[in-house]
Amino acid sequence: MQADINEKVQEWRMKAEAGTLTLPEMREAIAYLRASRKTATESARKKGTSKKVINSKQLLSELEGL
Amino acid sequence: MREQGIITQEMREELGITPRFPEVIDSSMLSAFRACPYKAYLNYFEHWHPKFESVHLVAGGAFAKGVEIARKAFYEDGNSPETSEALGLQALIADYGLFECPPDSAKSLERMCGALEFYLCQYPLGDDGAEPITLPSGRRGIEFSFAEMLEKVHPVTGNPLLFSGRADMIAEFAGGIYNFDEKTTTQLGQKWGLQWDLRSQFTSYCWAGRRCGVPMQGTIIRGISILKTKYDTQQAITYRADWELDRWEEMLYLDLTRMLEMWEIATYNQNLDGSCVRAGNPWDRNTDSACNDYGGCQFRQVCKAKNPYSILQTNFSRRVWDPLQHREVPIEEWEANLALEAKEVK
Repeated sequence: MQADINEKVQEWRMKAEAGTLTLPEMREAIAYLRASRKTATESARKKGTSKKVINSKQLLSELEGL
Repeated sequence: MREQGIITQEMREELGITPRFPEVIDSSMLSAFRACPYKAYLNYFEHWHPKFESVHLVAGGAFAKGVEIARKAFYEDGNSPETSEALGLQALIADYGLFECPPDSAKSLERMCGALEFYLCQYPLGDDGAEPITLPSGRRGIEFSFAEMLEKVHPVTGNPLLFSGRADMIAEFAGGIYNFDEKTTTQLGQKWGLQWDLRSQFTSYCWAGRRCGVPMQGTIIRGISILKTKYDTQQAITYRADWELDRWEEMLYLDLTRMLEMWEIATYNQNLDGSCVRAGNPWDRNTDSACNDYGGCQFRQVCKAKNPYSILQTNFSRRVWDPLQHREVPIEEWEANLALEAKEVK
């Protein structure tokens, strides 16, 4: 997704330089950036909640063996 | 007597450099002078600036432009939030231009576009609690510029010196009037908000507001951190009481007196067209922390060189920042304009 954004931004940049960047394109751009950011945030949140569950009983039993 | 490591009149004449005392003082110049008068002299009297643009300045400037245009589109032109955001993004992209971001910096054009979208989502136009004030001229308090006449005069022209500044936004918020300032950064955190309580820049805005009949309670600073994979934001409020504004003004005049005294020390001739001839360089240097603050003073190598101009000519170019017009011009254009003005006066 980052590669897509980079590509689009380079396109906007060239159009801005040529004076051909349009308002409808920029409205779409804001919507695209917003959706991409929210997707990235959601993915990061899901990654964070799928951590390995610690088995505390097993950990304690390992201590008892010391 | 020191003869090496300083700029001499012979060196200046050889390169055709004429230092000029500025007509307009601003917060950046004051800050530089307080940190190191020599730095202020090189930056603002001889107008040396690094040849290569700083990513922080380019990115920060583009972001500010985007926010300014979005606000003006919404509050002054009555556009919808969606259209205003789009216009802001268009302005950011145009302002960033073709600048090549260093590979290790998070402030690429892509990330700055994302930062603007994030900011306008966190602080929605028309729905963030801040309503730009309406000035007597009918304009809104967006990118509000001021230039206040001081009681010190220019040492050559005799014109009153001016103190100028430009506030991002002056708005009503929670029953009071505040200056709003956006700061892009790579790091926020617990201590981020504490650094603004004595910031001279914000005191100067409240001081100018008091003089203009727009009394402000203080400044609300919105920090936006831009990292390679995420954004974050923090708001801080810093207040200014009347006695702090009075103290700021007193310090301003003390610093101006010192600046003028340094200017005068080796002046033995004065021409009415604003040039000055000096025998040496009395400007003090701060060879302490100011050299290392904020990633290092841009003139560190200059202070290490036996012949400062050898480094200045290689790594710097001369450009003049006009705080009233809020733009940078090459030294040649600026001096040509000065010569034209001098002719018109005669």
